[in-house]
Amino acid sequence: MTTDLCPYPGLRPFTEHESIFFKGRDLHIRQIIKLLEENKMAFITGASGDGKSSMVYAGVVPNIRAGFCKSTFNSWIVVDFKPQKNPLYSLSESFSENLNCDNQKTLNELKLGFSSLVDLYKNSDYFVNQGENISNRGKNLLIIADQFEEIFTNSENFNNGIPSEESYTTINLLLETIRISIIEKLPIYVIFTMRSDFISQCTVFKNLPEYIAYSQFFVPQLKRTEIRQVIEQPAILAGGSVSSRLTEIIINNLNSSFDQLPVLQHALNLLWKMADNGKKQLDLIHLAKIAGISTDVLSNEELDDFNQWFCQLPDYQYKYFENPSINNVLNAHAGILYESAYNYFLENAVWAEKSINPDESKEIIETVFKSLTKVDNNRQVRNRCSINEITGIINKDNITNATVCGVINIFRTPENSLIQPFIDPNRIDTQYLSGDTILDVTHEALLRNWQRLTVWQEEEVTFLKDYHDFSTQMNRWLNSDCNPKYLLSSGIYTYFNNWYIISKPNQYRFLKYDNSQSSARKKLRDAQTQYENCQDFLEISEEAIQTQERSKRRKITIAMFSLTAFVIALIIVSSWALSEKQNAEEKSIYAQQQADSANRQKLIAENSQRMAERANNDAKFQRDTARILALQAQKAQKESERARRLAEHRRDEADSLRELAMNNLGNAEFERMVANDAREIAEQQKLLAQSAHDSVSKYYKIAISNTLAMKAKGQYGDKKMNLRMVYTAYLYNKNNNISHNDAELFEAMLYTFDNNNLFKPLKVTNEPISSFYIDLNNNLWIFTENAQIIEYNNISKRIHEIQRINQFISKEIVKKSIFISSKYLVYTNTENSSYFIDIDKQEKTKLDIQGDIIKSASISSDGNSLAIAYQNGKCLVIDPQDPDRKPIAFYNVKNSIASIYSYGRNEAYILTANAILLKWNYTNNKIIEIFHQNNMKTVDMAAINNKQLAICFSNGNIQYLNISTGTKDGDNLASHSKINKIVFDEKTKYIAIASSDNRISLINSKDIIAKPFQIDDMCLHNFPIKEINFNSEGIVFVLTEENFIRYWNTDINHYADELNNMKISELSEKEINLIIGNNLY
Amino acid sequence: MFLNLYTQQISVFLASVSPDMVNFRQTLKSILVKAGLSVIESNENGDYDTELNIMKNTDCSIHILGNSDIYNSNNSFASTHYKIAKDLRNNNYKMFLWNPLGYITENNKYINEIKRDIAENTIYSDLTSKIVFVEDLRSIMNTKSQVTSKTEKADILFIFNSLDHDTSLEIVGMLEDIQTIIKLEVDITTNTDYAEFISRQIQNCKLGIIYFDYAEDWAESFAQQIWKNIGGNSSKVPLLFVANSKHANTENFNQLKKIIPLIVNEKSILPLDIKMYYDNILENNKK
Repeated sequence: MTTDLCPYPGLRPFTEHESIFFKGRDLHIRQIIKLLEENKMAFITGASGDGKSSMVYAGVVPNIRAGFCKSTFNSWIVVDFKPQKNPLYSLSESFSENLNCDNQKTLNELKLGFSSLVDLYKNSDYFVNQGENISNRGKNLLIIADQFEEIFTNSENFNNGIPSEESYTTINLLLETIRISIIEKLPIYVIFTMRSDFISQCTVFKNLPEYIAYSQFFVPQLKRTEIRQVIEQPAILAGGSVSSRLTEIIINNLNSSFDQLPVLQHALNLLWKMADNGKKQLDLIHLAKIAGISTDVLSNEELDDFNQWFCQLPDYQYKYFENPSINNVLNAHAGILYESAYNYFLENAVWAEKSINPDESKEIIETVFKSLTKVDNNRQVRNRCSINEITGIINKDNITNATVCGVINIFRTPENSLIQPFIDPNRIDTQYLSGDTILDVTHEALLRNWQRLTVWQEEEVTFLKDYHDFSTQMNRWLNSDCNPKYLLSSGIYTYFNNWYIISKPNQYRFLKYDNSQSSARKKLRDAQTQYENCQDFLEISEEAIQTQERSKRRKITIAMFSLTAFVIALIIVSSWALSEKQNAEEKSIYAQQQADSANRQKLIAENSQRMAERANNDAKFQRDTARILALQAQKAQKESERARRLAEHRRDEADSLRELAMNNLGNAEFERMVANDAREIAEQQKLLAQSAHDSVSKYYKIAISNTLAMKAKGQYGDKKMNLRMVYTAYLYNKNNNISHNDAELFEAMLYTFDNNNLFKPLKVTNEPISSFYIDLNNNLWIFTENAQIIEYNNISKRIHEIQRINQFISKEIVKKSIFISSKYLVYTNTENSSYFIDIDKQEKTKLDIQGDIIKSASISSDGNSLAIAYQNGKCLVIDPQDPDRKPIAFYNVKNSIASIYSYGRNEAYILTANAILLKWNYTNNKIIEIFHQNNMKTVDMAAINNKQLAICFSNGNIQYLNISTGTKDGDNLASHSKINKIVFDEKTKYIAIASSDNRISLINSKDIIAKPFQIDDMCLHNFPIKEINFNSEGIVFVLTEENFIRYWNTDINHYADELNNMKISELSEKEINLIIGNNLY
Repeated sequence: MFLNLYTQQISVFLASVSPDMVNFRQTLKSILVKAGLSVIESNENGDYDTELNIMKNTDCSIHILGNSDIYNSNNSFASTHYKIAKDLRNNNYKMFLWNPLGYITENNKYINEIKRDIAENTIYSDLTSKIVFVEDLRSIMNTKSQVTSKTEKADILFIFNSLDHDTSLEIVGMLEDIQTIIKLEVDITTNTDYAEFISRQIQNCKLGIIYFDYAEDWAESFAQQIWKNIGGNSSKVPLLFVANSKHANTENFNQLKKIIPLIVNEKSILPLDIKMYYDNILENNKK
């Protein structure tokens, strides 16, 4: 009998919930737990895909929760995070979520590094001091930094070998937490998981290598027996079984290299489903059906079964069965999903328009997987990417986010789970993803085993290489102010233009390869600019090439024309010369004939002879003329050639002059604009410089005053010198109108005064004091633990006793007492009996509620009703003037009480310890809930100016609630430790809070954000605070466990006056320079 | 110490081989000796019983698969040794079948039949490296003997957290009148290996109970890990997860057949509820 649960998770890691099926690593889990017990940390490293995360989440965590790790408390809080793009934020988010605290405040605290994380834990409700013995409330803390390599793989965390500030702080916090936990034996433990190929990069962080060496666990490869457990045990636990032969053949066929476990888990997941969800024994036939083994190994009967099944498969699936092996299972599975995604989309994505064809569906999947992977230092790695980015890369009108989501959903179903986030079958809304959703490949094993994805990866590598080459050319052009010299030449242009047309890049694609640490918005802006530059570069290069070609064509045409004209001229001249020559020759022949005839007729006539000679001479002349004409024609031809060359040269010169002129014009315009911009920038910089100068000057003065205060606090010189230093700091502030560092100065004043023994604590009685009160005359009232009341005169002057009332002295010790005024007092003794005392009348009345301890009391504005609240929830109201002090009203909140406050004449606000604020009208005994904050603890409250209630939470936070409207006015983190008490002073408007780290913070109620004045534990001599009160002059009085009453004036000028009276001199400039040196704070 | 030093003495029977594998076998023998294993061989002159007696005195056997069919043949020592090992494997005797060629040709097609015949305690390998093969063998055969705690027979194993010490003892006190109980108080500040003890002790009981009142954070995780250690849905002994109604959250057990959640409203009738479940289990076991 099996369950419906599949005991094999497939490609994704085991979750904690699935730990019940996680087997094979029992020994390693025990070893890691041992490291945690002994060293408080384990740095788990191993190859990609060896199951580090599964081992932690499904192995170590459930085992320690089950109590198999020796620690302090029974329960555990697990704060786990992946560094992602901001490790500190990820840590803070998980911490605040698991420890129920405000993320922003946690983040602010964690930014301080070092002990911050430990402090937050120690101040939480989950840490209980061993002495308190409340072990069912305390929880051990386990911090898991999973996929720690993201510190190095995300450029936001680590760029060009330099880690970000957040990365430094996160690592500092984790290492310091381990260090402090070891020293203080705190129940805090830290686990890191990281791919081992990043180990060498860890040396960038100080101390990290030492800690790794101190407690490293290198995940071993599973042995045969352990792989057998991985295969067989989950099926057995789920009530199924695996045949021995299947186990042996799988073990044998598994590669011992990368991805052994993810490939195995993925195959087992498919096998389980193929075996009718484990109802049949998992066997060889099932492995054959998932393309994991050749059918040669099947028996004849099994082979028939297989063939019958195989014939029913669609044709496109056959090819995946051609090379069956365990590693082919993932390839076949992903390939089949790729080819059936379109039909799945048509049938299931009801929300998406069906405006794509099957080829576009495949194109979407290709883009998705190309976007979700990248090459980093020659490693194929995952690359998280949002749907918006992917849709942007596809960049087609008919493909929207809904289309992308619908097409890839087949990869997100629980049975396939190759892309996360997965679809939750119980939540239909998880089928549709918004554009902001980040997608991620479930495991890198897919990158290495899906053959189609490997091809896509190679294409992407080629794209990236071409993109880099193109960028280099383009940047050269951009950096030379777009000089045409750097435009692409014809051949290179053709190459990159082809690249551009085929790969169709856009800003989203460029964004993927932006490794800078800029914000996402800036990166997108840069990618957009880059994209536009690319387009410009290509277009302008194309134009330049075309212009060049046009010009070349024109030159050739002109040359051809000139040549033709010349040839024609040459032919004409030559023909004429030739014809003349022929004429002359003909005439010469004729003359010769005539001469011959004359010779023959010599004797006939002498005149005829002379004529013949003359004709001969004429012919000679004609021949010479023809020769000269031929030479002239040759010369004309040469001249024509030279003229043509000259014309060409002139034209070229004119062209370059025009180009130069155009360039000069552009440059001049550009330079004018640059000059304008530069002037504007210079103006702005001047203003900025002036403002910076003012700021620097002011901050320099603050720094001087601050440094003096800090040095005085740090006991720099002799005690008197310290007084001089704080006095000088005070004067510096006063003269320069500085108030920024009043809080620091106040603290330094108190330190130096205390160190010079200028504060005189009041040691009024040897009897332990239970509580005290200061009346309007500044007389001090003491109630001792043996129930004695003593009144002293005005305590700011010489103190002496006025009266002592001994009649209430009792054997029982006073456990808790509260002065209502100098007239009334309530208290509870160690027998848990509670009393009311009228001091004037010297009457003591036993109150109606017994067996519980008074927690808080408050008198109404008319003084006629006194509301008293008991620790365990009972509240009553009495009339203090009624001799019997019988209850006017009674109410049981049934919750622990933190505080009660009387409001007006007949109302009271009750604050419970679990953060519920109730308004109680005790004339009609009606209760209204005003405020309730889940999972928070409250400790005390005080009324501010009768208008607001300041409610203190145990985590140090104070919330201000408007009494009349019940709405929240604001809040602030007043203390990093638990607050014990809160008091408000009408005169100074200070809210004083006492915290468990023995400090008092004075918060200015008019400016709650301002840094509070602090009276720290040194001034209180490290004694816990029992009670705080103000006198009518705004002096704060504090009763500590040492039985002293200490008091401090809250006005900083008071101390300066005292120093002035003491003739303390101001430091000279020389002394200041000597003290400060180069160390300004 | 996280290292396995392989100190256990392992005796390996190196079965006879076909003539094409004689040299190969000789090399393997030397490597086995170097790995600290004791190698036993046949002198190839005995009958089935003689060979059986030799093999019985070893922890496992190695059968190198060459070109002659040892699966269908009856007349070679190699096939006799293969058959004896098959008979012995039911008694936890391990047989290692090794095809050092790493692939199957026309000459050794019989290996497919051998593969189909693989059953429990059979290890098939087609690794080509002798060293890796011997390493695997040594690691499979070296199972560390653990120091085990003493267990005893009882009806019920009653487990509770030290936070619930008082109420648990009260319930155990009432139960002890009707059943034999072994009670186990889990104190997480000690070094006790509770998982190991429980997984062995529960085999001597008919029912395991995990009870909690205050320790709710611990109980659910603990019950899941114990369920896993005792065999999950295939376990012979069921676990009763007894939760106080205030804290009960048993959703995660819905699909785990051998964990029965029992929500308690009234502590005084809890022993009767447990008795009822116990009787049901006995009844079902008889069926």
